[in-house]
Amino acid sequence: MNAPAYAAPPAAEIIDAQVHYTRRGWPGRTATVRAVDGVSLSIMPARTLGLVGESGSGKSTAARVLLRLLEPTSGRVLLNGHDVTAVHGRELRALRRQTQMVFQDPYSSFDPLASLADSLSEALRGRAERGAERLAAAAELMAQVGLSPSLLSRHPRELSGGQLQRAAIARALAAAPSLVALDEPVSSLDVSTQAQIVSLLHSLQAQTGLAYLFISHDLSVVRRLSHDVAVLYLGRVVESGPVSAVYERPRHPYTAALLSAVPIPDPARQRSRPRIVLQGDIPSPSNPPSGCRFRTRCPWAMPVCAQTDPPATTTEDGVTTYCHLHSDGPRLAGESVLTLGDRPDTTA
Amino acid sequence: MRDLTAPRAGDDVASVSEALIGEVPVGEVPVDEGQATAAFVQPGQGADEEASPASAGTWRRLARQRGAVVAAGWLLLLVLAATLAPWVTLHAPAAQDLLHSFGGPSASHWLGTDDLGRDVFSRLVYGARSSLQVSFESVALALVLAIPVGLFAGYRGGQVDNIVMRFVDGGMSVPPLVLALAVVAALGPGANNASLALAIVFMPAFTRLIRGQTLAVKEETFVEASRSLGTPPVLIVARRVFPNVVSTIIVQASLTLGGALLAEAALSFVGLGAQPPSPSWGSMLQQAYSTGLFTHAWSLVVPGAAIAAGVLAFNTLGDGLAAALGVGRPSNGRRRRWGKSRLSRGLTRVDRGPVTAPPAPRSPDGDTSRDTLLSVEGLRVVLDTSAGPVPAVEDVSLRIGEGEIVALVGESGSGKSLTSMAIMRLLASPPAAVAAGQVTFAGQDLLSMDLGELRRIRGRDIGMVFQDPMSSLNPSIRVGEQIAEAVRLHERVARRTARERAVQMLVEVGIADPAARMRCYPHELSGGMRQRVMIAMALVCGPRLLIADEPTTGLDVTVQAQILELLRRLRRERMAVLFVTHDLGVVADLCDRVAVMYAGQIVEEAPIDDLFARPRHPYTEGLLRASRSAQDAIGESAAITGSVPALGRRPAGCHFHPRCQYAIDLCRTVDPPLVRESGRYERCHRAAELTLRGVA
Repeated sequence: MNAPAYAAPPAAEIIDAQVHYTRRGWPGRTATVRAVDGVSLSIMPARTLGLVGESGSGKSTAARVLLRLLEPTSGRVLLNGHDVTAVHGRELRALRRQTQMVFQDPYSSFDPLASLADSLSEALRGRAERGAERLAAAAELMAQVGLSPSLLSRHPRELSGGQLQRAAIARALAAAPSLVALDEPVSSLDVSTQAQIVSLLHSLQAQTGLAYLFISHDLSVVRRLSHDVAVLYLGRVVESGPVSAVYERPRHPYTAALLSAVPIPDPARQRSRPRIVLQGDIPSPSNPPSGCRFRTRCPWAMPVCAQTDPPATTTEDGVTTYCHLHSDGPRLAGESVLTLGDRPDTTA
Repeated sequence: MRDLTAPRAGDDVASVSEALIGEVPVGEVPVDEGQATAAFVQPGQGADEEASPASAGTWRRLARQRGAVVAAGWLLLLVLAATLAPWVTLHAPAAQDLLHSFGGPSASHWLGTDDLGRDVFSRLVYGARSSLQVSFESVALALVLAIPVGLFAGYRGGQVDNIVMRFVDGGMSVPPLVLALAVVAALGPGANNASLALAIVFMPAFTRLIRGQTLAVKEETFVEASRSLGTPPVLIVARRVFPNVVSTIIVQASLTLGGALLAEAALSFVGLGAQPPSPSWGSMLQQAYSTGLFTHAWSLVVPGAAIAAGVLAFNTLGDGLAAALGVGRPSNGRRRRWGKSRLSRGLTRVDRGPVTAPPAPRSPDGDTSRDTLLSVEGLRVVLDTSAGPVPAVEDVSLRIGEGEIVALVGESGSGKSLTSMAIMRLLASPPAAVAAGQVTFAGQDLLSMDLGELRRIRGRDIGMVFQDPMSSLNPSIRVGEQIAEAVRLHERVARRTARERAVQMLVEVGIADPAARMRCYPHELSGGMRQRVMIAMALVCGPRLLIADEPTTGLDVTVQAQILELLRRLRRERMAVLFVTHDLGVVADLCDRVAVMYAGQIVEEAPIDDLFARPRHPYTEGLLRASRSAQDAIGESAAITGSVPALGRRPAGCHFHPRCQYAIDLCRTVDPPLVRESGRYERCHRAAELTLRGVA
């Protein structure tokens, strides 16, 4: 991510993280699942990094590593410039408060038996000790996310999805974090609610200088909120860079396919857009394809793609892409995939 | 409370209130929360219905079960009698009267006397003391031991869990009575030792149960939220996990109490429980058995009946508690979804309610083109609520031609799902019933049709895809078989042909390695795959019409693109689709015509390009602007303020007027008529004079 040079260290950073699971089976059938396989991400304060990819691409796993909710098999995690990979126990619990998460389904992210006041005061532990103080702080947080403090006595099921997602954001803020990971925070909400949550997140960032990690498979919402974006496929970053550059000139076929898959609410424009429909599903991370992992679904796959890992190509607008189209062939050399007119596998 | 609305988290009527919230200064909340949350009241079911174990709703639900109430009453009586034994009995339990041994019931001896002339009634009451005491003590002690161990093992997991569970397995592999006998034999007979022995017998099962529940709750997102807040594990377990396990424990404890009563009787029967002369039901039984088995059967009946009634009461109460607390149903996190599944459970329970006389054909349009496949006329769906019947869908008319894809869009709570289910008569009745209207499919009246005939149409001529694929698939049958079954249900083909068609269909919905997927059970597939299996099942018979309720919601965009591509192809083969969705992008991509629903009515219907370019209803304009601002980089504020009116609280006049920036006095009083003009309809007084903004 070639963010502008800040004096401050990144709010959060993971370097070459790997998360491998071993699935035990009969002897000889033990499989290693590489959910995240060498991912580096870095997020500056007051910036948003969008993390996109299909389910199974490893984006949630990478986020959980960043939040120190999951131990990486290897790699390092840095928060505000400090290496926290080796922190454990009580210290880790204190550390976790620096990074918070907002989940996709607001209902399952709140204890159904606890009132909002209860859930929020749990989040305020350590910030305010006495009950009355906590309640006052909770009311303040509710106001900050645009909810009436009178809702504090309610239970999760008594609120609408949008209201509860606001409460989830309030809970995240309660820990006074420097980074909030947003895991598909609006994809379960109605359209009008989505817009409101996005603008709430926007204004909170402007007020507090929070850094966001925005995880989604929906690229349109990511664009609204992110400064930079990293596209993940099978546990690896395939393309990353400033959001406008990636969206307008996708260098990787996977990015182009993801972009074309989101229909825009305008029939005339939607009909004239090129469609790249990927076939099949994302392959199993226990047995990824050799060479470029995307080659099995790539309309432009070449023989070289099966043989070697694609090298990084960095362009002057700050985008880094891992694709043989730019180095071998050589056909693109940093140009957008969309300049390839003769798409072999697309329908117009 | 949130019932009728959707399984998607935000998909509920109140969420539109957000539109307003975001625009006002922080701290001020313009929405009437009471209204927002009361927006959709499930008939006969209040907000507290799904509340925490201690809530009033639980008691009310328990009180509704006659068996459980009787059982609880009986147990209360037993406990009272046992506690107040000296005051409710006329004789001391050990007072002998050898002259009147084996006496029958009399005014002085209500249940007669035993072999030593002791009063059976007072022995029964005093016996309840030791029987109940041992039962309660043993279960309480088992819980005191099992709760911390189970919570610890379940939450900690790993090696600790492994070791604990091996002990539990060991405990459970010994026959319970033998274990109890061994313990009592080692400790010596007596009521206290019997309690201890039974506690040891019960503990493994409790531990296993609590540990299992803990494992499940531990995976819930809210526990991960607590972890990321740095809450110490002890607090997470005590405040988040334990309360969510309590209902299960309560139910299990009640059921185990019955077993404890029985076990105590068994121990006393063999002389290892309460020691003479203090009576217990088991020892009474033993005495009657050894002295009067053949001569005075009555003396056996009394303690036997007491034991049986006690055990029965505990079990009935346990079952009642299970129902009242929702134990054995989907986990807490998912309970809110009962609503929708309740309605769609109508897959088996079909609305047979008589449809009131078909309305006078409205047909103001005269559009009776020959290729109309499905026509809905004046459909009205009424929900039975505690406040009386409330119209949920009002006067909905819709036409779908062959090979046409019609979108039904609207915010959650607009009634679009109800409409799509009503068409197929899949509404659960009660609470929902079709009160008026006509649904004609290929010339046949679906609403008055014989059920058997309807079943032949469903699945064969009309395919259906609903939200929540997990509840629509049979969890114990391989998905391949389920798809093949759908073929064989409607066509006389060989098993093999059916299977080949199923494989083919899986390929078409974009499932890689279909032969392997065919052998999977639903739970082995990802959510996206299950959704596609549902779509394959709906399409495998080559229906002429597909009714799809949010079929791509929750799918990856890449998979969604595959499904949309497939539907486009099937349209070329003349399949028609009723596509219920809230995603205007998908609508723009796929559909030919759009019907916009609001508060139970279709407020606008138009061909796709017209609707997007020149909306004629203010609500449509608002929806278009909201979806654009959610997607585009430009920070545009959403256009619709306020919230969808609650069911039964729809305002007079145009239902949309409180949220409409163009509303005039006329809109507040007069319901706008449906106006047809050049192939489009709208329900707005000012449609002709307003110029609304579409997508540029």
